[in-house]
Amino acid sequence: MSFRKRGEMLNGGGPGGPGAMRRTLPNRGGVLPNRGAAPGRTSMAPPTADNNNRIPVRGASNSAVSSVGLTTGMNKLNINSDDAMQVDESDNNMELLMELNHPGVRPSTVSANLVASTGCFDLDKLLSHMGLPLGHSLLIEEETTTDFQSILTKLFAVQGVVHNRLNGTGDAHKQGNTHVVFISMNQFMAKELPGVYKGSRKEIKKSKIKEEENKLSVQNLANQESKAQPTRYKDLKIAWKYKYNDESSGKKHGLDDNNDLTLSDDYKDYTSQFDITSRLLPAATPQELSFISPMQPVPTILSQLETIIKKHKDKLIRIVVPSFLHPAMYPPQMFSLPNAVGLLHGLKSIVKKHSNRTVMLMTLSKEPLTLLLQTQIESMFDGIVDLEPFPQEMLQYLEKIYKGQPNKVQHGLVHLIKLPVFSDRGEMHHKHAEYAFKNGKKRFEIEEWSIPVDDGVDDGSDKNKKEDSSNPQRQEAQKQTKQAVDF
Amino acid sequence: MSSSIHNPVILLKRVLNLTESSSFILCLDTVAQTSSGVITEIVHHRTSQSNDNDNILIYVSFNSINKPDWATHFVDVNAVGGVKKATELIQSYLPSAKEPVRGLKKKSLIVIDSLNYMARTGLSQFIASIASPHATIVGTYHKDLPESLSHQSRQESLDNYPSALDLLQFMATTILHITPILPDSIDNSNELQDHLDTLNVPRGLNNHTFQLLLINRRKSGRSLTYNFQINNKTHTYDLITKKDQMEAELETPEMLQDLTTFNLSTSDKQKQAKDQVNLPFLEAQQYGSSGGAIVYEYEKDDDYDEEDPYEDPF
Amino acid sequence: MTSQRQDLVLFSNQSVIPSIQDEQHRMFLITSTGSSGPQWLINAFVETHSKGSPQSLNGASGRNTNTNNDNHNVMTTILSLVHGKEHYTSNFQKLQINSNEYNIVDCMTDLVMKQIPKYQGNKLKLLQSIVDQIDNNTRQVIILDQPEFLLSLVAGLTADELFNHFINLIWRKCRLLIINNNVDMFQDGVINDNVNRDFVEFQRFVTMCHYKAAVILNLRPLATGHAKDITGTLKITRGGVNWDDEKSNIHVVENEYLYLTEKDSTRLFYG
Repeated sequence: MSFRKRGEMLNGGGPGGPGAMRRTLPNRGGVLPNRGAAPGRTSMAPPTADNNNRIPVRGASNSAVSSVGLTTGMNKLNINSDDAMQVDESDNNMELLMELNHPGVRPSTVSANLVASTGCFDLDKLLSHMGLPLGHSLLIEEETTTDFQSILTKLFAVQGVVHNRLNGTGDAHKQGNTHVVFISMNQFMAKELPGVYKGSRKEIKKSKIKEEENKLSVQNLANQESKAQPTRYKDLKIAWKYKYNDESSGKKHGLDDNNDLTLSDDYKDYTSQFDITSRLLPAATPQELSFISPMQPVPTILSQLETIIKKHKDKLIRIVVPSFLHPAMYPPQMFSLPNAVGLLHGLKSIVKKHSNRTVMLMTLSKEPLTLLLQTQIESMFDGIVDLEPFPQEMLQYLEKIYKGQPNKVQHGLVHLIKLPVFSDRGEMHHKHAEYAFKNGKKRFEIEEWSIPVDDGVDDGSDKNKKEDSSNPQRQEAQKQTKQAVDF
Repeated sequence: MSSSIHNPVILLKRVLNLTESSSFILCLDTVAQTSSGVITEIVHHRTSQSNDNDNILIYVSFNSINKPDWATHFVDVNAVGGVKKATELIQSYLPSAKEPVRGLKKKSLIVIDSLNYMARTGLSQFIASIASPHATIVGTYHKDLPESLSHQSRQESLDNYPSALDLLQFMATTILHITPILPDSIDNSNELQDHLDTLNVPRGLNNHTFQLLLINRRKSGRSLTYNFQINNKTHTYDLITKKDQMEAELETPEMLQDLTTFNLSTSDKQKQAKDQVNLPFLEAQQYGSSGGAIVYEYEKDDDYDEEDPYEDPF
Repeated sequence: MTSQRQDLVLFSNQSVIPSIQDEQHRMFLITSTGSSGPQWLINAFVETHSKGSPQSLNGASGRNTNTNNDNHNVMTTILSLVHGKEHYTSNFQKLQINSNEYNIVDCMTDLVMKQIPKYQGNKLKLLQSIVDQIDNNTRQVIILDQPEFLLSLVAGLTADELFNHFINLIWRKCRLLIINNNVDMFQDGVINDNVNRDFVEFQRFVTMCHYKAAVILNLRPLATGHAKDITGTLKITRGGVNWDDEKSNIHVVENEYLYLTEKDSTRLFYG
């Protein structure tokens, strides 16, 4: 058994490799024939060849271990076996994550990776995987001294806490499925996490009444759910892609109606919606969320992190580094290259080492950094998103145009610099000023950006705006550019 | 002797031949055109002329691990353990300074792959210590390799000490500025510099033909400056005069070719015809003093209405 | 668009890595940026070294492969500061390169947490310990993926030290050294004001590489931004060192390709 596992580990453990999806397939012959035709699947080989491939590849990876050991002597043999053991261990965890049906993990829609939600639906979408692939890191940069990044930080963190509380009743804090690690001095973060959005005030009242009515059956429901989940996962692991495509249109319409995030049933708990004006109750506990002070020598920070990850085995670890190198929170010596880049290099090493159950998000204000430091930091990340808030004049202009619709006003541009998995392969995903963000009470929205035209009253576009924010967006954008051309 | 000096190409040949009495030749180059072309040219002169065994060609390497084929001695400064050891080695390869100069047919050659790797405080001492009446030093300095600032911190402030480049230029008896012939895709040296600064190296550089600016300091104190175009393959040198340079800047039909699919160039015949065309307003200008008068001639279709007060311009 | 697929060619004899039996040590330099990553090019070099030509490029067209038999049992060694071992093994497995044909020295995993503290500020010993992990096999090709990170990670390390105590030692262990350098920080041009000591070291390092390389492979994203059918440009230019091989009489062919990297495969074509 262990022999087979090692083969699988080498086979599919790598980022962008033939991932977890594939590894679980042979057990489910019935689903296999459909795979090749699955829409959106990024396969490198036709389905039949795929099957045959497995054997020689696995054989090769096994010989990799032995031959390297043979040719390079005792020294390296030790290192190798060390590595192998570590990855083996996380490989087990991987299977566990899958078997536990972690509500915060789902397959990527565009690659063979498993992904975890960033806590922000639109950011997940922007990353095109519908989340951040496990074992990958995301950098959110901000151009000015504004602090939109902190919202994304909180969403990323609180999503982990919410997932952790999903799995059950009283024991949740002990068992749990997710652990959030903050590398920050600011311990207040734990208390500032937003709560789950419960709908408008009316809806809250309604749901409270319902809750009262259903109180007796809650236990039953929970049981039903936990029973239902495993079969659902097993059956739909492959078919989810159809599902996703079928539902994506419907889902978006659902979105239009009440502007709520009604995700498909499959991953209904994957991304929660948060109300950033509220607070998470009860507040996150140390069992759910740990802090590591960055005011320590880099190796100490890293080994503390590793200890936490090992302590919370079988859990998804969400590492958050808020406002990295914020001059108020980081001492000057932290800005030296060996410390700043060293910390990131070490973090990347840890995330990759436990690539089956860690994700990392860091936010960074570019303002105080030298170009050298900035580029060195950037090259340590798998994904980079850059927020460029609008200057005041632009905001005033937008407010003037969207008179009476303050929730239409975007707050800044979103530049996509690197996409996880794809940029590693050498694909070019630098998209400058193609998206804009706006931060609302219940949602951090990212949408396609087009400069709105100031042409007074336009009934058509007004209707459009009322209808929807995501689906006719493209039409709207086209319309607006058309107008611009006409103008 | 003095007559030959007036021919710049012969002067350059004498420099490259090491027959000119210059003890330190400094090659200044950039990534766009490295000094290897000049070095091979010097070596070519050296090896093609004499096959005798007393040729001493020392290659002093600060940062290359490859021994060139032509070198009789290869000194890897880092491998032998630093500048001090290297200096001793070089001295041991050279004939003793006490030996009469005339006893030897040829001067030895010391090529230093690059002088950028030494702290500038040690430069002059190093050059002085390996200099010998029997040897010519050919040292390369890369102009685009910034001086490391890390050496400085440990020592007292060097703010007033000349930069390595200034220092070398001061010590050198001959300076060779090596620049590329700009490829077609590049308009001027500023554009080239922009490309190099962003490490976006254009095609067509490091060619076997390149430009060389020779500055030769005579014993008299006079300094001669000439510009050449060197072809490394055919070993031909062409003097570029100022006139050539001016002409090169004028628009020639060749410059207009391949810019578009339109034919922008003019043939000689067309040019002649073009020059003969009388431009319409030249005549008017000949009236001179009459200023802005309007010349109006009736034509047969002109409709002149005497009643209309505005019709008559006169 | 009538753009035709092109084969990657670096030398006048149509080769990517010419097989030359001399004692010279050669260097290729790849300059890449964050949004035009070099992984596909590294893959192509590894594949060329083990199979004779970069077959996976352009989707393994039915091309005559003059397999270099003398390259068998010759290793490619990858030393990486930016990716762990698995990253490369999964890449090479897809190319079906036998695992005994490459060796990966992982300088990403635990470098900061374990290796650097182990040498407690003795930077030269640290470098030596990494160099020692590479076998001495002068017929091998060694690829260094972003060695410039050592300038960041090792306190007080200068570009000269990195060359003299690391790059040159590794270079001696192979006939061809391929260095990939990320040049994002130079894309705004040279910063003259506020001369930064660290920046100068990076600048020195990458410039030294340009002087020592025989071939420079320049990967840049499309200047006009994201495009669906083009990822970027690959420009091949001569480096500071002449590839002077009078015996085989080959030279570097300067060229500029457009390329498209998509779903794990890369295609080259002329613009």
